[in-house]
Amino acid sequence: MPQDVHTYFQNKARENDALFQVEIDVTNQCNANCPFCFQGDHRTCADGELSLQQMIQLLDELREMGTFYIGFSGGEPFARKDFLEILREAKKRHFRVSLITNAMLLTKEKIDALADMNIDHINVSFHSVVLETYLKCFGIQEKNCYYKALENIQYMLQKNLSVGIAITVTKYNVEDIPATTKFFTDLGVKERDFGYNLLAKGRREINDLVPSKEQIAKNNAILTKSVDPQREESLICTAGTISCSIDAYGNVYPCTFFNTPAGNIHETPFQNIWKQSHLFKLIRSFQDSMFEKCSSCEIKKYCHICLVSNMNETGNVFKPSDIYCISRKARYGSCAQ
Amino acid sequence: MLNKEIVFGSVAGETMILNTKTGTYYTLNQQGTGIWNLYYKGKTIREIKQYYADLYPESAEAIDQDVDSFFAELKENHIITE
Ligand SMILES: C[S@@+](CC[C@H](N)C(=O)[O-])C[C@H]1O[C@@H](n2cnc3c(N)ncnc32)[C@H](O)[C@@H]1O
Repeated sequence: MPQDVHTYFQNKARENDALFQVEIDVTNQCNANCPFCFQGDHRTCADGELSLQQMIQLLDELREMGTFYIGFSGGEPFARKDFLEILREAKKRHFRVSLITNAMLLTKEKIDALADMNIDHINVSFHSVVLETYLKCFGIQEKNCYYKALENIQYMLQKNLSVGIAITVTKYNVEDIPATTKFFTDLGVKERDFGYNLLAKGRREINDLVPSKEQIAKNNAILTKSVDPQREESLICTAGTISCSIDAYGNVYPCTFFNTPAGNIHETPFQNIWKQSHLFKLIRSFQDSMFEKCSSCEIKKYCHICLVSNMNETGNVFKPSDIYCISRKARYGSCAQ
Repeated sequence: MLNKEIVFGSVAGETMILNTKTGTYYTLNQQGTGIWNLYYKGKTIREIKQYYADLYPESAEAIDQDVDSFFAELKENHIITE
């Protein structure tokens, strides 16, 4: 096999319009209120969410389609009472399963259940080790949530679960990144399992929260650590070509940041949406060379063209925003030198 | 039965299997994927052999051997447990 197996299959999926990975939001309910959340204002009601039975049907369809990887998210996935049941059904079908959570609603019993069912990876959003910053990032006041999340991360590590720390980088927490990274590294989180996510616009304005160029430059050494020099051949992100996102109401998007769905599984069978929707077909027709600014950029080997950031920030799918380019260059610029 | 630690996905008739405990990847070609899909859907080894023997009656003996060695390899690599 010419490349490593995983890359070979990813590339093969791109050539065949095959759905390699899916994100499923199991609920829109959330116990936090992050000021930057791309989901917009959090909802507290479960009305209209896919039932457990509908989730199981979707998992069966994904298995039929050959999907390898499912990432569960929300809202806060553990705000949904039957989330463990959904995970169990996904593992029963032998998907690679990961989830992202704020870990505040977890208990020892739930973590034991995650370990028993062999969940492959758990990402915990923990935006700062500094208590005040943490609360500000999550838009909450209860200090107890911070301690609860920490206790749960420690217990997950003790249970030998694969734990990642997701830090969404804003002007509030960017200065704390070295301390937060050191704290969790000392607890046993592996270097490769830190994710520093730069802000993207969804249903919320984020301009006021984006860190300054100077702030990012100061923390460049840490941020670039998460840069993976191995990449697929295409410069364009995977959204709509080998991956998609399904929200709690059955809307199907190229990725979770998109505001307009390609279809809804209550109205159209999922496989038809994936294969035939105009939005997905349109995305699959894009070539790297159509993105004039990106195809000649010095960091193109490290950066991805993020279709949704282009759409949401400039209104032109082929044009990245200045904020996008500045923050990516601050982050990846040193790799290109 | 599939080992609990196995995850898999298929693209255009080829299958990628990962043992999540050891981090080892295995791949199945189109033929292997055909057998794998039947097994995943609950067919027994005997039923799988019969299925292919019905399709290719002239090669029943070779099919028998091929299917046996396919499953022996899966067992050896801890992809299935029995
Ligand atoms: C939407 S949350 C859902 C899961 C869970 N409630 C959590 O906090 O991890 C998933 C991840 O998206 C991140 N996120 C939210 N809004 C974002 C934005 N505008 N740009 C980048 N990441 C964002 C969150 O910080 C979190 O790490």
